Amino acid sequence: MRTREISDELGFTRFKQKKFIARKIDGEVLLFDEETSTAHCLNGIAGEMWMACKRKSTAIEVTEALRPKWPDIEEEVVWASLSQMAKTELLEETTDQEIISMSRRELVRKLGFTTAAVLPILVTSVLIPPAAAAASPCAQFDHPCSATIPCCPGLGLGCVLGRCVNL
Amino acid sequence: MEKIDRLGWAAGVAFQAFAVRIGIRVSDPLVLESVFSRVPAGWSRLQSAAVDRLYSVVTPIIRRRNVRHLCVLYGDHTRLSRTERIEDLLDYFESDLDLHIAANSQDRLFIHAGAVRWKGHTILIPGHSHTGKTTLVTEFLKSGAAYYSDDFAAVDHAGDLHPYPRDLSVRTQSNGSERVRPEDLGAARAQPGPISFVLLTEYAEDGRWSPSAVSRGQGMLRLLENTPSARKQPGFALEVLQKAVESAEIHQGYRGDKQQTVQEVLNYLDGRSLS
Repeated sequence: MRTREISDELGFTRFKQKKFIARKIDGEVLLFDEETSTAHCLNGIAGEMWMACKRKSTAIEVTEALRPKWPDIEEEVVWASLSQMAKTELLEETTDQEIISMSRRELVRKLGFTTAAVLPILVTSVLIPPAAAAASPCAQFDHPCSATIPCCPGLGLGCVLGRCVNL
Repeated sequence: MEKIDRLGWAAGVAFQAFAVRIGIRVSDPLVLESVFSRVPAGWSRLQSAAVDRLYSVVTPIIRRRNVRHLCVLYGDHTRLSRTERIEDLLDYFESDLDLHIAANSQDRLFIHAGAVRWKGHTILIPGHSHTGKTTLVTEFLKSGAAYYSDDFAAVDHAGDLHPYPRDLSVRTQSNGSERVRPEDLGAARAQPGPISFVLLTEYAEDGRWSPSAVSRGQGMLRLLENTPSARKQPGFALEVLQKAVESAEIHQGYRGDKQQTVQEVLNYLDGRSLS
């Protein structure tokens, strides 16, 4: 049976999309965070949850938005999924009442115990490397270098006679 | 004014390649032609001297005994390479120029990938340097595929793949590289077309090509990792990549022997009708 704290948390904690470039492809959602140069791929249900948080939304509201496609989804599972996405910086999380966040740890423990292993969301994230790193590996100090393997930039190194030396 | 700008420059040229404006200046006019020969085909000369990147090449004109004669390459005001062999400097220039174009072009989206065409199927093999792209591309060409690129795949705004005008860069045993024309391997140059197959693969010593299908979203993530302009122009990169993979199958897996891998990929494509 749902306790009052859980009901309050579901109703008062709100989640909102962070500012990303978003693309939908074959039911998945691809997000690009320009601040951190990180790209994320969200599976179908995670993508729908994220999309449902255009405005500040509670888990109850998001669950309603998901119900046409996932009629059996539970509000607790949605809340735990949204919290997980907030933890990985995909959503912003705010609570209307400070008192709720006081009991949050206990709530997470209660919900986490039953839902952590079965959360339906899947998020894959990659850090997009700088252009130079994508192109080729680089050589450290005193390592061999060539036209195809340059010295690592930013270390004050230069390729002299096939070896990286301090300039 | 930077110190380098105060040096005497004997010759120079400004051109545009893939909508990126490049300048080259040299201390010895005889060197300009060699440097310019490393520019990818399809460039056009600029009337204005305003460029996005300026390469400066300093080479010794008077040679003295018992003195090391170094050639120096600058990219804007940063020293990129200092070497006794002009060929090494030219290799560095070529590689830096390709990367600069790939990271800044708004005309094409460049993916760090090898690409070939087999009976109407366009195969893309993304991967960083030293992941065996050229090895696989060479094997595909020997099996009868046509050539797009072994390093940078150029995708237009509609998502179609175009050849990048460079021959294969095959590594030699002395850790250098040499250019090999695809025609020398019996291969033709491929015409632009949509991407139909993406191979996400790495070599593993005991590997055997036994791939699994990957969703287009996951595939785009891997392509983004290999897109030099993704940080600078993420909106453009996502838009073009989405179009590029919209009719593509994406397969992922370790590979072992190159011949076995290529043969299995070609057999798979032969059994699959064109979409």
